[in-house]
Amino acid sequence: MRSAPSTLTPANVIGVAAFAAMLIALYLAIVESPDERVQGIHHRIYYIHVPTALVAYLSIAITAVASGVYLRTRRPRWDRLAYASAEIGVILTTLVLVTGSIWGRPVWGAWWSWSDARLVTTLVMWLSYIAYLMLRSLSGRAPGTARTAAVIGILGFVNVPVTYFSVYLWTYLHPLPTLQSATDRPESAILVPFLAGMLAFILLYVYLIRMRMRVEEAQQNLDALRAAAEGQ
Amino acid sequence: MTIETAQSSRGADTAVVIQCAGLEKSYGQRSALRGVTATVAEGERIAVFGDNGAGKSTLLRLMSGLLRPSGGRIHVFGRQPWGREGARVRARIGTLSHQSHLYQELSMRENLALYAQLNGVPDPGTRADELIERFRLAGRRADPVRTLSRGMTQRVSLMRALIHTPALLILDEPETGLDAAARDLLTRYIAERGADVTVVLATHSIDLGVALTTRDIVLRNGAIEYDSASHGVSSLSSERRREQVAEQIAPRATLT
Amino acid sequence: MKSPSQATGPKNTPPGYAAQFWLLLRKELAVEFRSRETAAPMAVFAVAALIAFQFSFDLRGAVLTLVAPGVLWVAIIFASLLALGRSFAREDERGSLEGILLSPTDPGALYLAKAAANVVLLTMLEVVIVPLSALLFNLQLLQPALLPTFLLGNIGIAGVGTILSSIAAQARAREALLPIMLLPLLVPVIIAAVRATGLAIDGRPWEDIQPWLAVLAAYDLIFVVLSALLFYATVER
Repeated sequence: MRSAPSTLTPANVIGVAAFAAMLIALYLAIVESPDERVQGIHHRIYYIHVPTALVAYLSIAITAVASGVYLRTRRPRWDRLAYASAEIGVILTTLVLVTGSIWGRPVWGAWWSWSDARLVTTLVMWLSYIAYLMLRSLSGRAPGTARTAAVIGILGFVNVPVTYFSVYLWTYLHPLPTLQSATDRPESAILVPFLAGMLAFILLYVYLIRMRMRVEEAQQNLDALRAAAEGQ
Repeated sequence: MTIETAQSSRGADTAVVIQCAGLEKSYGQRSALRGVTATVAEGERIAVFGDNGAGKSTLLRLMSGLLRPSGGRIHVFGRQPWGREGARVRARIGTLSHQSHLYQELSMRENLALYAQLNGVPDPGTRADELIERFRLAGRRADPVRTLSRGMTQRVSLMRALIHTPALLILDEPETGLDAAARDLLTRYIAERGADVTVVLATHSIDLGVALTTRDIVLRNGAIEYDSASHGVSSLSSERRREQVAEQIAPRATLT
Repeated sequence: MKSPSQATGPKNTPPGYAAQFWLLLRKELAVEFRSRETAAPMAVFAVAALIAFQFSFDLRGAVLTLVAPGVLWVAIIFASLLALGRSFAREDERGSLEGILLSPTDPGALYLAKAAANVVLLTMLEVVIVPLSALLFNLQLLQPALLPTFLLGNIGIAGVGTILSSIAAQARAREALLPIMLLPLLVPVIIAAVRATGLAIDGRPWEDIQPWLAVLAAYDLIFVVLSALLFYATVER
């Protein structure tokens, strides 16, 4: 065991850092940042929505890469990373869809728009990885689930750009990204709270992924012990 | 056991057919084979005994290239038998298991021709007909396997295992799949091929094992409990072999 | 000691990738056409679905040309689930898939053969239901641009559906898992195929349809190649 007091484990340090960064990001987004000219107060959700979206896509990318590495090396660590990252990715994507709708209602006048390639792609990605999680939960800990899930983990990710392009082509009607509509303000006014949000969500992701991988590892060890006990 | 014992049992110039070193296989968290090290020389006939769940099937499925090991090493004819790299090795292995591996909708000739072609047999149709004649099923060659009796289907699945004249024959509990007549055909086939075919047989029947093979391995809990070759008892009488194997299987078998 | 490769036994030379593909494709089609387990139920299901859509949407007049391409493709994709679901479940019964895996067959060739057999089934289905819809709904479905549209669409559905079928066959609740995994992945195919079909029915020029055929072709290429490479992981034991 570590000699340092248990409150100072790396996991706790990351957790506290994530919490602090989240508070700072919220402060910068809500108090510090000025109202946007066109969207007014609604625009503040941007500082939550966009970092969530970027980290959600990052989680799914990590699932795909870890799935590929698992198929090559067959080390259970990579499978645990893929699984944990998919779970967190789905949760974050849910947040993205919710915050996106909340933002869209006042700005576009609708909760949802089928003509926005980003929205539809995010929804499709969300469904793909819910299917990934369902495959895993329905198969339980059956041998081979890690292999087949890895294939879904890769296919679902490759489908993201293809879907984006198809929806993009389907309708040329798409709103300008907000970063462009806000160019008349000093860049740092949006950049600083945005980066603070990014940092907060990345720290949160790292914290959660470590926890989730540990739980999964403990669960697998427990299963191994149970299997060994039954074998005797 | 090591290479030396294999050599000592059959002379120094005998090729190694199967080599396992610390071979492990687990299904999810359940480990079925925990570190098996064994060598099988060309032309050897080995019986693998053990309780249900001792790892017999797993060991044989690893040898036939169907499973990917979780740890350790397995080489058959000097190469890994599984995956793409094992394709050429698998063309030299014939496997018989409790499943028929046959397509019910296809005729026996079509099934046999398919497996002959997939294994690269030069004249697949003729080879299939030859075997069908030999196994005395010529009258039913065009009927779908679905319509054959159990005994006939068993003979077809045995033909499937032999169609490409394998150099290594892997028999996973053939007593559950074969009737007396088919077993007879198998015994004669092995005798005819002589040293050209290496045989690994997993069985619950000590009698069958002793009749078909010359070396005994007993598995327990996924590890080798007893190997007659490493005990230097390669020339026991059938009677003594039966006793030895029964004794090795017995102790804890009654508990499970 | 002799080198292991000199061990006795005939030196059979296993067939190459393409030869394996043809052998296995012929086997798939032979098994399918003798059991007739899939083709007929697919066609009946698709026709029944078309009738259900007719009364759900009241397919007449101006609505018809707008909705018809989607109705047609949804019927095809739902019917395809019947073929895809059987593709690997059927193999389980007598360990025939293990028989193939015991031979020197490349898993990629096995995947391509199964996918090609599913393309054949889908094409047969369309040969029945496309003219039938033309008749029932009075649609201009005899456009040359529809040929590549249906072919490329079929390759997309079968290409992704076949590898997912292999995955679902090993899981519990396979009947539910297959569509859950398949439909999100097929969104680009649905979009492109429905658009191309709609433009063709409207009698639009080739240049308008071409981008959608390009999307379908790109999708097919990406997913068929990727699946052929990844397929081994779904049949490994």
